[in-house]
Formats: sequence, structure tokens, C-alpha cells
Amino acid sequence: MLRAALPLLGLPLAGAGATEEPTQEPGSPGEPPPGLALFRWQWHEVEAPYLVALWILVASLAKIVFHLSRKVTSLVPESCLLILLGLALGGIVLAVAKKAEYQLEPGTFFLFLLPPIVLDSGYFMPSRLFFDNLGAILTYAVVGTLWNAFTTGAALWGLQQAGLVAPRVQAGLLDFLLFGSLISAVDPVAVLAVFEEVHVNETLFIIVFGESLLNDAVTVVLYKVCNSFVEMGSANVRATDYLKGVASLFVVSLGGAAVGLVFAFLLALTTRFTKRVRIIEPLLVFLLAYAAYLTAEMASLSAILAVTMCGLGCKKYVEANISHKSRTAVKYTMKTLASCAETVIFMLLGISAVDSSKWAWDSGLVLGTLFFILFFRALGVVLQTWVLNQFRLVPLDKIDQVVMSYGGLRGAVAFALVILLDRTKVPAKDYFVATTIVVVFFTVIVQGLTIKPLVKWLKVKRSEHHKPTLNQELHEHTFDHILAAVEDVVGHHGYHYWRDRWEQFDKKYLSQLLMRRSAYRIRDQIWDVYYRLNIRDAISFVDQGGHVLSSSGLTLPSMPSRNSVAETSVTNLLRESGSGACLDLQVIDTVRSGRDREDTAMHHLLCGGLYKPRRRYKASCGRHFISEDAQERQDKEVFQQNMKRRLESFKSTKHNICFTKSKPRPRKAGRKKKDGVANTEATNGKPPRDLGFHDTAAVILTVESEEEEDSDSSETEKEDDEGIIFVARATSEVLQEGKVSGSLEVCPSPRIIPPSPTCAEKELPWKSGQGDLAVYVSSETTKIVPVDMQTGWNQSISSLESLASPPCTQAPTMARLPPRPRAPEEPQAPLKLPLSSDPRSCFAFPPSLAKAGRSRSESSADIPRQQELQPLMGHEDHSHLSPGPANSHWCIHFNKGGRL
Amino acid sequence: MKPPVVRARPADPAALGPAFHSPGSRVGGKERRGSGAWLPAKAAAFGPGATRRPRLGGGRGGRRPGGSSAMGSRSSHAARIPDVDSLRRETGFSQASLRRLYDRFQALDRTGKGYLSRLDLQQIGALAVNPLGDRIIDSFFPDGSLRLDFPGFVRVLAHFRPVDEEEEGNRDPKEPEPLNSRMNKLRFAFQLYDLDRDGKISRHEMLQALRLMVGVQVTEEQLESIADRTVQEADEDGDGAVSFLEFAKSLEKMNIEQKMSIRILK
Repeated sequence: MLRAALPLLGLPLAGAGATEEPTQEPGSPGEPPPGLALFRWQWHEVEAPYLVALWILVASLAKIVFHLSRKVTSLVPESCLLILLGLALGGIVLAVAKKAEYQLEPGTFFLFLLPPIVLDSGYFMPSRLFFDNLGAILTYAVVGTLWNAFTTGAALWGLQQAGLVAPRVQAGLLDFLLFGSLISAVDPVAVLAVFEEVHVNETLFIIVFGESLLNDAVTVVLYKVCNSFVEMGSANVRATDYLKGVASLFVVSLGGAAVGLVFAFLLALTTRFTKRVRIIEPLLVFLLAYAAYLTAEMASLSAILAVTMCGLGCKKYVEANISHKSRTAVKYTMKTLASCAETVIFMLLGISAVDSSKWAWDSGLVLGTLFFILFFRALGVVLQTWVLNQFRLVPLDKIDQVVMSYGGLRGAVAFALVILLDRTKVPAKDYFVATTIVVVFFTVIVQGLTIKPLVKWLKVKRSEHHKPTLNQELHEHTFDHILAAVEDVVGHHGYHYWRDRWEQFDKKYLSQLLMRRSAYRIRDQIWDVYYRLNIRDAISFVDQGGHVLSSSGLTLPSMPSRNSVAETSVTNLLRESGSGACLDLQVIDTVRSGRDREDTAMHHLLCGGLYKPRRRYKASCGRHFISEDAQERQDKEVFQQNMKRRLESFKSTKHNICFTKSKPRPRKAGRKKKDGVANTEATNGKPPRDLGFHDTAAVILTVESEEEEDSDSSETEKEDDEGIIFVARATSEVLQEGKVSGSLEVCPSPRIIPPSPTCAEKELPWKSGQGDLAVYVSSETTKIVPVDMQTGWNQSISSLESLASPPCTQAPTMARLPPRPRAPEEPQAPLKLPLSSDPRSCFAFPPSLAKAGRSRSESSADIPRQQELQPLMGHEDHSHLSPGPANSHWCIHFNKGGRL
Repeated sequence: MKPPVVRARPADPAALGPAFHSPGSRVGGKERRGSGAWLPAKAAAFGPGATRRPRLGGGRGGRRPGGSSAMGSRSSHAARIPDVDSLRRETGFSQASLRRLYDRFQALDRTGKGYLSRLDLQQIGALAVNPLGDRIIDSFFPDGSLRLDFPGFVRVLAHFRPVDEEEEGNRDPKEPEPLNSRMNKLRFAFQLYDLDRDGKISRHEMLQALRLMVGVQVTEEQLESIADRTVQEADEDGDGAVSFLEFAKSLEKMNIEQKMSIRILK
């Protein structure tokens, strides 16, 4: 971009002037004063980057405007709109400056605009799908492009010989072949832009798109060979030159791919060692990929192929090595850059078309070219598909072939190449430029506009998205192994055999070399799916806003049978209440017979898992240091344990064996029918809204999300903190069963009761006064509590309560707890609590009493908000709670209604 | 839920055909182990850490009595495959495929005994490193038989014949499902998990399968939680195990016909 703008520096500012003028007023246009200038106007120093930024801004704004109306974008592909906008802008520029400016410069295009798009598509290419169809893709890319180039070129030459092209187009066979070579390549940018909106099935998409990426090598070779032949003059071309041309096809394509793979290797290897400098991980990805592009370009190899292979090759290892945050950063930066580049390309393409000085129109040539590229594309596809179908397991049917033929869009690559032609060597350049512009516009606009209806009309199989499930992942692996084994038995070393070989090689050597050890495990695909499912559950659980929850949150997403009335009701409740709302767990309180037993079992489980002593994070200072490394393994183990427990409880709840919300809850004022209010809230360190609970003891579980491994940059920790506030109730039975002691034995860790009195404890005034204690549980444990887990939670609550038990009931427990000073700012809060009036012991709540307790609580329903805030206030003091890189901690507050 | 689960069981050997039983009976009572005795042995073979099967001795023992009777088929040319026509009808393989498979069969049968033993299959190099290799070999030897004759060999491989849609269209609904139908393909995969052949993948069986497939780096505890979740994901009736129907349902979105087919077996 910069380079593109540089030549514009000296040119009149008219185009940009429209935007610039207003700011010019305050400037002092007059002669600079000899003394110190208060204000100086230095447009020329910033002009180039300024213009670049402006153009991108214009393009982005245009994009926003297009997407304001869904109707328009659903009908018209964005690329069309951008080209049209470019035409309009070009017209304005032309009118104002009397000169066409800001065109698509080939240098800019190839060096700056194309790489991000190709990297994006290579990096996010579904590699399995790509390699599954590699044969077809390569055939179309190599044979198809060659076929298109030669037939189109030859046919145009024939057209000229037949006298249908005006004689002023001075071109020989070689010129036409050159033109054919540049016009024949399907353009990745255009294909991506159009096909992304069409959503054809994956196989079709990967074939068309893979072809458009891989044909670059062929295009580059053909273009260069033809170009040099034209420059040498056809008379001087010797037989060896043809041979060299053929050889260069291999050199360029294999060389490009090799360069890409080498850089992919380097990139993967580099990211293996970025453990302590997580912050530059995304940068490395872009730098090395760009280096691959430039290196290939420098060696005149296929740069697109290089960067595609680089993205394709490094992804697996890079994704495993870099932190979760870096992954997100890479993803978004890549998408942003690609979308930006794409937008600018189409816009500049539109603008460039306005420049009539480059044009020379010849109807015969234009129409002939249009016809031939469409015709030969279709013919080529049909012929190749026929051959390919002899070898394909799943043949490509006629509809696929139609879409493939019609989807052969030409784009900016062709335009940039034709601009690069040398007019002295190729006298017909102007005609070629005009023809190329028409072809590009026709394919992008007309075909782009019609391909969607066509796909709909032909009823092309669309892609269907379904979430991965563990079963699918596991069985897919099984199938792969089965097929590989059967190929072994049959004695045919086919695709599955080689894939199996490769996977073994990868597992044995490559992954060992390129992945850091801690990442290695995670990248096991089955584990990965498991991990991601858990993350999704957890995230949606925290998000708890809207439909995400219903699909994947509380009901584990991949489980088809969620018949439990209770769960659905919770889901609905969560959904309607949205973020920050209090959920009444009582609604789902179905008392079941096996509950107590279940409670007990669960209690033991949680005792074992939840409160294992963990080291605390040390506070990390400095944005470049990540302190969590030592904890990683530990954290994962904790995560594991917790997920396991969660599953276990899920198992029990799923089949309605036991679904307990143990106790009657105080009722929230203004809430609907919810009694026990589970308030799950994602707060970013802010106090939760809406926690109207009296007599609640806050049990703060600061738990680390799955992302904890990646939680590195401490600067973001605050934003990422999310608190889940649970208001739950103690199970008296469990306590009475004497489990208390058990839990105490297991969990006397400093984590539970942190050495420094936790802020929560300090600032929860009602604690000491009323015997409800804030219990600090591990700040590392991942405790994502879907409804399925509620049994578990209740258990944990009860065990927590046993820890934090009030002196009256659990005197020995109390002894362990540090004294909790009453927070001065909230002295009156506890006073409002009607607990003193409650004759019962805080925790003794047999289910039969639930009703009574509930009604009682209703009377005191309007408990001031500040009480609810208190746990969170404590939590705000974050450095106490989780001083380490706790950027993805979820604080789960348990407000247990101690007494009703 | 239950009845179909139970039905799925008997269907399994039936799909594999009666010929699977014949070699076992030919071996004679001395060699033949009762299925009751066999099952625990098999389960043990897949127990934690057990990769090599302890039954090689049995396979070797079985070779002797079968050797002489099978000598005749050894000399037969590939064109004279026994029961070509009925095999073609049953498996849907083309003549050329059958011939190729027969060549392969004879190549695998190194000692020319006319049938394959487990050892023959185990000597295929790549199969030894396949995590499911042992189980797949087992599926060639149903019900504890020790010999695999050519029809049995072909019948197993017929599961992986690509589904021909036209053929599927004109199939007589009264005829039994072809071996390469979706359900039979699934059933083949299912019995790789279902070690004790009770028609269900229990949590334990899932765990064993996962242990084979997931990398060593995942700890036992993690494996267990994966197994838990996997079972729960598919388990619909809450019995803590995955029945065949549940198995099929968990894969209903997957193009099994495509995923479980090998082109060269057309």
C-alpha cells in the first residue's frame, strides 16, 4: 500500500482533497514565521500513509454500509458492490483530478494485498478436506489451467485469423497465448469472495478454491514463459526453451511449495520456544508467512503456493504451540487483513477500470474472449471430471460440474498481470487490458450475482454445519484406522495407507520436534474435541445469554437426549432471564429419593477433587512475562478432575436419578417464580447486578477457565475475569452426616483459606456476625457448573459450608477459619437479615421444610442489593484473590442462604 | 431401546455369514474353544497394555489338521475361485475384484494351507502398528474360529465396497441388506468397540478403545473423563452404555457410505 501511494505523492491532492479540505483551515498556509511556529501543516510528510489509511477507511466504511441492509448483501455479493463503488469513486476521482488516480498497482497488489488473502485461505484451509481431494484439485489446477490457457489463446488466434478481430489488434499466436495464460487462471480472491457467501458443500468448495490457489504456479509459469517468448520474438524460441518452460513449471510449483514448507517448519519450530514471550506469537506467524511469500517471489517461484503451503503446513503445530489468546489474535488479525485487502482490491479494481487511457476496445476480442473462457472452462471441467470420476470414490455429478464451470471467476490477479505487460513488446496490450477488465467485471458481477440463484435452483448440496461431537471424532478416527488396515489387508497402498503412514511419521517425529511437550497432548484430536467441547460448555455457561446456552451450555451440546424437564426449565429460565439475572434453582428442585445417597457420594468426590491444595500464582508483572508455566500441568490436572466430576454428576442428573437443588431459597423480589436463585453472571470484575439475597454467605470460587493455560498477559486479566455468582443452598443432611470432617481433612489448603485473609472474607461483614463464612476455594479449579452439575455443586456447597460453618453448628470448623473482620462500609447489611428470628440451625434444612423456608424468605424478599455486592466487592480486590495471570478466572460466588 | 439392542446382536454374525462358522467346526473339537472360554480370553487380550494376542499358539495348532484338506484349493488358479458366482452375488464384488482379492488371499497365505490364520494377517507390516490392527484382525475371525477361508475373507472386505446408488435403488427390498450397506458398515465398526459382544459399548470398552487411539500423553484420568463424556454423549437411554442404535444415531450426520468405503474394492 505504501509503495502504491508513494508515486501518488506528487500528484494533485484533488481526490483526497475532498476529505482533507476541512482540516486545512486551521493551518497557516502563509509563509512560515521565522520564529517558533505554533502550528505547522505538514501534509506532505504524512501524505502517503495517510492516503493508504484513508482508502482502507473508505473501503471499510463502504463495507459497513453494504451490510446495513441484509437484503442487499444477501442478493448481491460484496465483491460486486465494492467493484461498483470503485467505479463510482474512480469516476469522481477522474472528474475532480481530470486524471485517473489510485489504481490497482501490480506491485502493491502482489506485495501487499495478495499475501494476506492467500495466507488467510491457506491457514484456515481445512487440511483434511484439502488432502482428501488433492488429486482432483491438482488436476483442475494444473491440467485445467493449461487447457484453458492454450485453448483460449489458440481460439482467439483463430478468431483473429478468421478476421473477427479488428486488424488493429496487433497480436500473434504467442501474444494470444500470453493473454490466454493470464486470463485463464481462476482467481482465488474472487472465488473466495463469492463462494464464501454461497455455502456450497465442502467438497465442491475445496475443489474450486483449492484449484484457484494452486493454479497460481501454472499461471506464473505460463505467464513468464509466454512473456519471455514474446520478448524474445517467436523466431528466436528454440526447442530447448520449450523444454525449459516445461521444466520451470516443476521448478516454480515444487520450489514454491518447498519454500512454503520450509518456512512452515521454521515457524512451527519458532513458536515452540515462545513460551515466555507469548506476546509476539501472532507477529511471528505473520512475519514468517510473509517472509515465505517474499522469498518465493524473490526466487520467482510461485509465491501464492508458498504461502498457501506455509499456512497449511504450520497450522497444526503453531496452533498447538501458541497460547489461546495468540490463536484468537492470529485468527482475527488474519481475517481482518484479508478482508481489508480483499475490499481494497475490489475497490481499486473498480477505480482502475475508469481509466480510459489504458483502454482500447475491440468488440470481437472482448466477446470472443468472454465466450471462449466460459466455453473452454466448461468443456475442460467436463472432460477432466469424466476422467477423475473413474478414480474418485464419490464421483462429481453434473450439478457439481456446472457449479465448477460457472464458478471459474477471474479477478485481480489477471488484471495485475495484464497491467504488467510491456507495451513495447506486446503492442496489443491496451486491447488486452480492456478485455481483461471486461472479463473480470463480467465474472465477478454477472456470475457472482447469478451463482447464488443458480446454486439454489440446481439444488446443489449445501454445506451443513454441525458441531463436532466426541463420538464423531472418535469414530472417524476408527474409520481411518479401519480403512488403513483394510487397505493393508487388500494389499493396496492407496490414500488411506499413505495418510496413515504420514500420521505415524508425524506423531513419531514431526510433532515431537515441532510441538512443545505440554502442547503435544492437547493436540491429540480426540482430546482436542473434548477440550473444545468443554470450553464451549463453560463459555456458554458463563455467557448464559440467549440461545447459546440452550444448545451447548447447560445441556452438554453434543448430547441429543435431554429430556429432563428440570433441565429444560433451567435452560429456559436462563434464557429468559439473560445475563445478570437470578435464577431460581428451586424451580428445578425435584426431590428424588436417591438424592441423599447421591449427595453423599458426590460430597466425597468433590472433597477429593475440589480442594486439593494448589499453589497460588505469583503475581506477574510486566506484560512480557507469563508466570503460569509452572502451573500448567497442575492446572490441567485440576481441570481434568473437575470436568470428570462434572461429568459424573451430569451422569446422575441426566437420567434424573438425582437432581437436587437442595434447599429452599429465599425469594427474590421482582423475580418470577424462582425461589432459589442461581445467579450466574459474567462480570468483568464488576459487582454483579441483581443479587438480592439476604442471609447469604458468599463462597467464592475463583476458578480458572480452560483458557487458563493461555492466560499469560497479565494486563488483560481484569477484562477477562468473569464471575459466576451462584446462589445456592446448603444441604443440611450432608452436614449432619458428618461429612464435614472429611472435607476438612482433604482441604486444609492455603488456597481454601488463603493465608492473607481473602478480600472476600475481609469484606463480607455478615460473615463473622452471622456465622456464615466466606470460603475461599481454589483459584485454579475450573468449576464450570452447568445445571447438570448442580448436584455436585450443592455438594460442594455443603462441603464448603462445612468449612465455613457457623460457630453454632460446626464449631470445630470455625476454628480453622481466620477471623473475618466486618467490613465497615456495610455494617447495616447483616442487620437486615432476619436470621436471628430463625430458630432453626442454619444448615438444617430437610427438604420438607423447604416450603416453609421459602415462604419465610419471601417475606424478606427484598434484600438489599449491597449484600449481594459484597462478595463481589471482595472479589474486586483481585490481586488478593488471584494475583497471578488469572485473566480467565471465573469467580463463582456461592451465596448460600445460611438461615431462613 | 432395549429390544433393538438385543436384536442387533444376533444380526451381527448373521451378516457375516454362515461360512464364518464352518472353519471353526472343521477344525474339530480339540482345537475349537467354546465361545464362553473364548470371550474372556479375548477381553483379556485387549486389557490394558495387552497388545499382542496370547492366542498365537492356538492358531499354529490349528494349521496342521487343516493343511492337508486345503491343499487342493492352493493349486487352483485365480480364475477358479470356489463358488465365484455365489460370492459375487453375496458380496457384490466384480469378477476382477474377486480375482484380485483371491490373488491377495493366496499371497497372504504363505505356507499354502488354503486358509489364513491370524499369524498371516499379523505379518502384514503396517497392520502391526495400526492401533486397531488386532481388533480388525479379530473381526476376520468371528466367534473364535482360527481359520479364515476365502469366502470369509471376501465377506469382511465386502463391507468396504463403495455403495453404488443405482444398485441400491433397484435392490429387492426382500433381499437381505447388502454387506456394504450403511448399517453393515456401522456394524463392522461397532463390533470393533464391542469386545464382549453384548451389543453395547460399555464405558470400559470405550475406555479401551480410547486408550488405543488417543496418544500416550493423555493421562489415564483424562482418558476416563473422555470416555465418560463419549458414552454419555451417545447414551440415550441412560444405561451407561452405547447400544448399536445409539452408536448409529451418534453418527447419523456422517456420510458413512463414503467414509467407510475403499475405491479399489468396487
